[in-house]
Amino acid sequence: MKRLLLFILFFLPAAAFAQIPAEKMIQTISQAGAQMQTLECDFVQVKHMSMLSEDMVSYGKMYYSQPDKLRWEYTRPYEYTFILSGNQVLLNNSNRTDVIDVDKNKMFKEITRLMSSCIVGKCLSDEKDFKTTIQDEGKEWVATLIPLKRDLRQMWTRLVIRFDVQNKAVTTVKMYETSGDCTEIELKNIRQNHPVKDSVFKLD
Amino acid sequence: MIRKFFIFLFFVLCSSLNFSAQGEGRMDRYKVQIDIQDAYLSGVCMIKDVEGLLTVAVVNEFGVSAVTFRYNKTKDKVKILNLAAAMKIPGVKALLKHDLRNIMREYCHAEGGFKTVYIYENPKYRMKYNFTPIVYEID
Repeated sequence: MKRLLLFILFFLPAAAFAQIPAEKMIQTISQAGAQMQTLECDFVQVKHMSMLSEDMVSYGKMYYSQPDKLRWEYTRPYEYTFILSGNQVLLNNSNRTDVIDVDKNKMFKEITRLMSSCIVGKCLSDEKDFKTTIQDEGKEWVATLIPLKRDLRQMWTRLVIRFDVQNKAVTTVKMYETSGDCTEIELKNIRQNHPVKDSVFKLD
Repeated sequence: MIRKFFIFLFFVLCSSLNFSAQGEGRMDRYKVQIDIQDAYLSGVCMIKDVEGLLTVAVVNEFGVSAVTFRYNKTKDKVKILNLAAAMKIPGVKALLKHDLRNIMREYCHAEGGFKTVYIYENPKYRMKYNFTPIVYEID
Protein backbone atom coordinates (compact mmCIF):
# COMPACT_ATOMS: atom_id res chain seq x y z
CA MET A 1 0.00 0.00 0.00
CA LYS A 2 2.80 2.35 1.00
CA ARG A 3 4.60 1.52 -2.24
CA LEU A 4 1.48 2.30 -4.23
CA LEU A 5 1.13 5.68 -2.53
CA LEU A 6 4.77 6.45 -3.22
CA PHE A 7 4.26 5.46 -6.86
CA ILE A 8 1.26 7.81 -7.14
CA LEU A 9 3.12 10.62 -5.38
CA PHE A 10 6.04 10.43 -7.80
CA PHE A 11 4.27 9.75 -11.05
CA LEU A 12 0.97 11.62 -10.76
CA PRO A 13 2.49 15.11 -11.03
CA ALA A 14 4.54 13.98 -14.01
CA ALA A 15 1.42 12.65 -15.70
CA ALA A 16 -0.51 15.84 -14.89
CA PHE A 17 2.12 18.02 -16.58
CA ALA A 18 2.81 15.65 -19.45
CA GLN A 19 3.82 17.59 -22.53
CA ILE A 20 1.78 17.27 -25.71
CA PRO A 21 4.14 16.19 -28.51
CA ALA A 22 5.24 19.08 -30.73
CA GLU A 23 3.93 17.41 -33.88
CA LYS A 24 0.50 17.07 -32.27
CA MET A 25 0.42 20.75 -31.28
CA ILE A 26 1.44 21.88 -34.79
CA GLN A 27 -1.11 19.58 -36.37
CA THR A 28 -3.87 20.84 -34.05
CA ILE A 29 -3.03 24.49 -34.82
CA SER A 30 -2.95 23.80 -38.58
CA GLN A 31 -6.33 22.06 -38.42
CA ALA A 32 -7.85 24.95 -36.44
CA GLY A 33 -6.37 27.41 -38.96
CA ALA A 34 -7.84 25.49 -41.88
CA GLN A 35 -11.29 25.57 -40.24
CA MET A 36 -11.09 29.31 -39.61
CA GLN A 37 -13.00 31.11 -42.36
CA THR A 38 -12.72 34.66 -41.01
CA LEU A 39 -10.88 36.47 -38.27
CA GLU A 40 -11.42 39.95 -36.91
CA CYS A 41 -9.53 41.57 -34.05
CA ASP A 42 -7.92 44.67 -32.60
CA PHE A 43 -4.17 44.75 -32.16
CA VAL A 44 -1.56 46.59 -30.16
CA GLN A 45 1.92 46.80 -31.62
CA VAL A 46 4.82 47.67 -29.32
CA LYS A 47 8.23 48.43 -30.76
CA HIS A 48 11.02 48.03 -28.18
CA MET A 49 14.27 49.74 -29.13
CA SER A 50 17.48 49.26 -27.20
CA MET A 51 18.74 52.72 -28.20
CA LEU A 52 15.63 54.50 -26.95
CA SER A 53 14.26 54.23 -23.44
CA GLU A 54 10.62 54.57 -24.58
CA ASP A 55 8.59 52.14 -26.70
CA MET A 56 6.53 53.06 -29.74
CA VAL A 57 2.96 51.81 -29.32
CA SER A 58 0.54 51.63 -32.27
CA TYR A 59 -3.07 50.45 -32.36
CA GLY A 60 -5.16 49.03 -35.15
CA LYS A 61 -7.64 46.52 -36.52
CA MET A 62 -7.17 43.36 -38.52
CA TYR A 63 -9.60 41.44 -40.75
CA TYR A 64 -8.85 38.15 -42.47
CA SER A 65 -10.93 36.02 -44.79
CA GLN A 66 -9.81 32.70 -46.25
CA PRO A 67 -7.91 32.13 -48.43
CA ASP A 68 -6.25 35.38 -49.43
CA LYS A 69 -7.96 38.47 -48.04
CA LEU A 70 -6.34 40.51 -45.31
CA ARG A 71 -6.79 44.04 -44.00
CA TRP A 72 -4.14 45.27 -41.57
CA GLU A 73 -5.02 48.79 -40.50
CA TYR A 74 -3.21 51.11 -38.10
CA THR A 75 -5.56 53.67 -36.59
CA ARG A 76 -3.43 55.34 -33.88
CA PRO A 77 -1.16 57.30 -33.55
CA TYR A 78 -0.85 57.20 -37.34
CA GLU A 79 -3.13 55.94 -40.10
CA TYR A 80 -1.84 53.29 -42.45
CA THR A 81 -3.73 50.57 -44.27
CA PHE A 82 -2.43 47.40 -45.88
CA ILE A 83 -5.01 45.38 -47.83
CA LEU A 84 -4.30 42.09 -49.53
CA SER A 85 -6.99 40.91 -51.88
CA GLY A 86 -6.08 38.02 -54.15
CA ASN A 87 -2.95 38.99 -56.04
CA GLN A 88 -3.18 42.71 -55.29
CA VAL A 89 -1.97 44.77 -52.36
CA LEU A 90 -3.08 48.26 -51.43
CA LEU A 91 -0.85 50.49 -49.30
CA ASN A 92 -2.42 53.66 -48.04
CA ASN A 93 -1.01 56.36 -45.79
CA SER A 94 -1.98 59.98 -45.33
CA ASN A 95 0.19 61.07 -48.28
CA ARG A 96 -0.34 58.42 -50.94
CA THR A 97 -2.07 55.24 -52.07
CA ASP A 98 -0.35 52.48 -54.04
CA VAL A 99 -1.77 49.31 -55.52
CA ILE A 100 0.80 46.63 -56.20
CA ASP A 101 0.43 43.50 -58.28
CA VAL A 102 1.90 40.82 -56.01
CA ASP A 103 2.70 38.55 -58.97
CA LYS A 104 4.99 41.24 -60.37
CA ASN A 105 6.73 42.01 -57.11
CA LYS A 106 8.66 39.14 -55.55
CA MET A 107 9.20 40.92 -52.22
CA PHE A 108 5.50 41.64 -51.70
CA LYS A 109 4.62 38.12 -52.76
CA GLU A 110 6.84 36.83 -49.96
CA ILE A 111 5.50 39.32 -47.39
CA THR A 112 1.85 38.55 -48.12
CA ARG A 113 2.48 34.81 -48.19
CA LEU A 114 4.18 35.00 -44.80
CA MET A 115 1.49 37.20 -43.21
CA SER A 116 -1.29 34.88 -44.33
CA SER A 117 0.55 31.73 -43.30
CA CYS A 118 1.30 33.16 -39.81
CA ILE A 119 -2.36 34.08 -39.22
CA VAL A 120 -3.59 30.55 -39.92
CA GLY A 121 -0.57 28.87 -38.34
CA LYS A 122 0.67 27.35 -41.60
CA CYS A 123 4.11 28.84 -41.00
CA LEU A 124 4.73 26.31 -38.20
CA SER A 125 4.92 23.46 -40.66
CA ASP A 126 6.70 25.48 -43.35
CA GLU A 127 10.11 23.80 -43.30
CA LYS A 128 11.46 25.92 -46.16
CA ASP A 129 11.09 29.21 -44.28
CA PHE A 130 11.57 28.32 -40.64
CA LYS A 131 13.00 25.84 -38.19
CA THR A 132 10.20 25.53 -35.67
CA THR A 133 10.11 24.42 -32.05
CA ILE A 134 6.96 24.53 -29.93
CA GLN A 135 6.34 24.29 -26.21
CA ASP A 136 3.31 23.70 -24.06
CA GLU A 137 3.18 26.42 -21.40
CA GLY A 138 -0.17 25.53 -19.89
CA LYS A 139 -2.64 28.14 -21.14
CA GLU A 140 -0.52 28.87 -24.20
CA TRP A 141 1.46 27.02 -26.81
CA VAL A 142 4.60 28.93 -27.67
CA ALA A 143 6.23 28.43 -31.06
CA THR A 144 9.71 29.73 -31.84
CA LEU A 145 10.50 30.11 -35.52
CA ILE A 146 14.09 30.55 -36.68
CA PRO A 147 14.23 31.97 -40.23
CA LEU A 148 16.11 29.85 -42.72
CA LYS A 149 15.97 32.01 -45.84
CA ARG A 150 18.62 34.72 -46.26
CA ASP A 151 16.09 37.54 -46.80
CA LEU A 152 14.27 36.69 -43.60
CA ARG A 153 17.49 36.10 -41.63
CA GLN A 154 18.62 39.63 -42.52
CA MET A 155 15.55 41.01 -40.77
CA TRP A 156 14.80 38.70 -37.88
CA THR A 157 16.73 36.32 -35.67
CA ARG A 158 13.54 34.63 -34.50
CA LEU A 159 9.77 34.96 -34.28
CA VAL A 160 7.88 33.82 -31.19
CA ILE A 161 4.19 33.11 -31.74
CA ARG A 162 1.86 32.41 -28.83
CA PHE A 163 -1.35 30.43 -29.37
CA ASP A 164 -4.32 30.24 -27.04
CA VAL A 165 -4.75 26.59 -26.07
CA GLN A 166 -8.56 26.83 -26.03
CA ASN A 167 -9.24 28.21 -29.52
CA LYS A 168 -5.77 27.55 -31.04
CA ALA A 169 -5.65 31.14 -32.33
CA VAL A 170 -2.62 33.41 -32.36
CA THR A 171 -2.58 35.80 -29.39
CA THR A 172 0.87 37.38 -29.66
CA VAL A 173 3.64 37.58 -32.24
CA LYS A 174 7.06 38.80 -31.16
CA MET A 175 9.65 39.50 -33.83
CA TYR A 176 13.29 39.77 -32.78
CA GLU A 177 15.47 41.78 -35.16
CA THR A 178 19.15 41.27 -35.89
CA SER A 179 19.83 44.70 -34.32
CA GLY A 180 18.57 43.47 -30.94
CA ASP A 181 15.28 45.41 -31.17
CA CYS A 182 11.95 43.64 -31.18
CA THR A 183 8.33 44.24 -32.13
CA GLU A 184 5.46 42.64 -30.25
CA ILE A 185 1.96 42.45 -31.71
CA GLU A 186 -0.83 41.44 -29.37
CA LEU A 187 -4.19 40.47 -30.86
CA LYS A 188 -7.21 41.43 -28.77
CA ASN A 189 -11.01 41.02 -28.97
CA ILE A 190 -10.59 38.13 -31.40
CA ARG A 191 -13.73 37.11 -33.29
CA GLN A 192 -13.50 33.99 -35.41
CA ASN A 193 -15.89 32.90 -38.15
CA HIS A 194 -18.10 35.97 -37.90
CA PRO A 195 -19.20 37.49 -41.21
CA VAL A 196 -16.72 40.12 -42.44
CA LYS A 197 -18.03 42.64 -44.98
CA ASP A 198 -16.37 42.35 -48.39
CA SER A 199 -16.02 46.14 -48.47
CA VAL A 200 -13.20 46.02 -45.90
CA PHE A 201 -11.04 44.30 -48.52
CA LYS A 202 -11.91 46.74 -51.30
CA LEU A 203 -8.88 48.22 -53.03
CA ASP A 204 -9.95 51.84 -53.37
CA MET B 1 34.77 55.42 8.12
CA ILE B 2 31.54 57.46 8.18
CA ARG B 3 33.17 60.10 5.95
CA LYS B 4 34.10 57.39 3.43
CA PHE B 5 30.56 56.08 3.54
CA PHE B 6 29.11 59.53 2.82
CA ILE B 7 31.56 60.09 -0.05
CA PHE B 8 30.49 56.70 -1.47
CA LEU B 9 26.82 57.61 -1.01
CA PHE B 10 27.38 60.97 -2.71
CA PHE B 11 28.92 59.28 -5.80
CA VAL B 12 26.16 56.68 -5.95
CA LEU B 13 23.50 59.40 -5.80
CA CYS B 14 25.29 61.51 -8.43
CA SER B 15 25.60 58.58 -10.83
CA SER B 16 21.96 57.62 -10.35
CA LEU B 17 20.83 61.20 -10.99
CA ASN B 18 22.94 61.30 -14.15
CA PHE B 19 21.46 57.97 -15.29
CA SER B 20 17.94 59.22 -14.79
CA ALA B 21 18.66 62.37 -16.81
CA GLN B 22 19.86 60.24 -19.71
CA GLY B 23 16.57 58.43 -19.70
CA GLU B 24 14.42 61.50 -19.32
CA GLY B 25 15.33 63.68 -22.30
CA ARG B 26 12.64 64.87 -24.69
CA MET B 27 11.13 62.35 -27.13
CA ASP B 28 9.44 63.53 -30.32
CA ARG B 29 7.58 61.32 -32.77
CA TYR B 30 6.89 62.03 -36.44
CA LYS B 31 5.19 60.29 -39.29
CA VAL B 32 7.93 60.14 -41.91
CA GLN B 33 8.00 59.53 -45.63
CA ILE B 34 11.23 59.36 -47.62
CA ASP B 35 10.69 59.49 -51.38
CA ILE B 36 13.65 58.10 -53.27
CA GLN B 37 13.12 58.76 -56.97
CA ASP B 38 10.22 56.42 -57.85
CA ALA B 39 10.27 54.43 -54.61
CA TYR B 40 9.45 55.47 -51.06
CA LEU B 41 9.81 54.43 -47.48
CA SER B 42 7.24 55.42 -44.88
CA GLY B 43 6.92 54.91 -41.16
CA VAL B 44 7.61 56.57 -37.87
CA CYS B 45 10.61 58.61 -36.75
CA MET B 46 11.42 58.83 -33.06
CA ILE B 47 13.86 61.46 -31.84
CA LYS B 48 15.23 61.39 -28.31
CA ASP B 49 17.18 64.48 -27.28
CA VAL B 50 19.33 64.14 -24.20
CA GLU B 51 21.41 67.25 -23.63
CA GLY B 52 22.27 67.81 -27.28
CA LEU B 53 22.90 64.18 -28.13
CA LEU B 54 20.05 63.03 -30.36
CA THR B 55 19.24 59.36 -30.87
CA VAL B 56 16.97 58.86 -33.88
CA ALA B 57 15.18 55.74 -35.10
CA VAL B 58 13.16 55.36 -38.29
CA VAL B 59 10.94 52.27 -38.41
CA ASN B 60 8.31 51.31 -40.95
CA GLU B 61 4.65 51.04 -39.93
CA PHE B 62 5.04 47.32 -39.18
CA GLY B 63 7.87 48.10 -36.76
CA VAL B 64 10.82 46.98 -38.89
CA SER B 65 13.85 49.22 -38.32
CA ALA B 66 15.08 51.13 -41.36
CA VAL B 67 17.79 53.33 -39.87
CA THR B 68 19.05 54.25 -36.41
CA PHE B 69 21.54 57.06 -35.93
CA ARG B 70 22.98 59.56 -33.46
CA TYR B 71 23.40 63.27 -34.04
CA ASN B 72 25.80 65.27 -31.92
CA LYS B 73 24.54 68.84 -31.87
CA THR B 74 27.86 70.34 -30.70
CA LYS B 75 29.98 68.50 -33.27
CA ASP B 76 27.25 68.66 -35.97
CA LYS B 77 27.96 65.04 -36.76
CA VAL B 78 25.78 62.05 -37.70
CA LYS B 79 26.79 58.50 -36.85
CA ILE B 80 24.73 55.72 -38.46
CA LEU B 81 24.28 52.96 -35.89
CA ASN B 82 22.09 50.55 -37.81
CA LEU B 83 20.87 50.34 -41.38
CA ALA B 84 18.37 47.84 -42.81
CA ALA B 85 19.96 45.23 -45.07
CA ALA B 86 17.87 46.45 -48.01
CA MET B 87 19.42 49.91 -47.62
CA LYS B 88 23.03 48.74 -47.50
CA ILE B 89 23.72 49.89 -51.05
CA PRO B 90 27.00 51.65 -51.97
CA GLY B 91 26.60 55.39 -51.56
CA VAL B 92 23.32 55.25 -49.61
CA LYS B 93 24.96 55.53 -46.19
CA ALA B 94 26.96 58.65 -47.20
CA LEU B 95 23.91 60.19 -48.83
CA LEU B 96 21.77 59.54 -45.74
CA LYS B 97 24.46 60.95 -43.43
CA HIS B 98 24.55 64.14 -45.50
CA ASP B 99 20.77 64.61 -45.62
CA LEU B 100 20.11 63.56 -42.02
CA ARG B 101 22.75 65.98 -40.76
CA ASN B 102 20.99 68.86 -42.54
CA ILE B 103 17.59 67.72 -41.22
CA MET B 104 18.87 67.37 -37.64
CA ARG B 105 20.49 70.79 -37.85
CA GLU B 106 17.09 72.24 -38.75
CA TYR B 107 15.40 70.18 -36.04
CA CYS B 108 17.75 71.59 -33.38
CA HIS B 109 17.43 75.09 -34.83
CA ALA B 110 13.63 74.92 -34.46
CA GLU B 111 13.29 75.20 -30.67
CA GLY B 112 11.40 72.17 -29.39
CA GLY B 113 11.59 70.25 -32.68
CA PHE B 114 9.37 70.49 -35.77
CA LYS B 115 5.95 71.72 -34.70
CA THR B 116 4.39 71.49 -38.17
CA VAL B 117 5.13 69.52 -41.36
CA TYR B 118 8.80 69.76 -42.29
CA ILE B 119 10.01 68.91 -45.79
CA TYR B 120 13.63 68.53 -46.84
CA GLU B 121 14.58 67.96 -50.47
CA ASN B 122 17.79 66.76 -52.05
CA PRO B 123 17.22 67.66 -55.74
CA LYS B 124 20.51 66.11 -56.90
CA TYR B 125 19.31 62.60 -55.99
CA ARG B 126 15.57 63.37 -56.27
CA MET B 127 15.04 62.62 -52.58
CA LYS B 128 12.34 64.15 -50.41
CA TYR B 129 11.89 63.75 -46.66
CA ASN B 130 8.56 64.59 -45.07
CA PHE B 131 8.12 64.82 -41.27
CA THR B 132 4.64 65.26 -39.78
CA PRO B 133 4.28 65.55 -35.97
CA ILE B 134 2.36 62.74 -34.30
CA VAL B 135 0.03 63.25 -31.36
CA TYR B 136 1.07 60.34 -29.18
CA GLU B 137 -1.12 58.88 -26.44
CA ILE B 138 -0.91 55.45 -24.83
CA ASP B 139 -4.00 53.70 -23.42
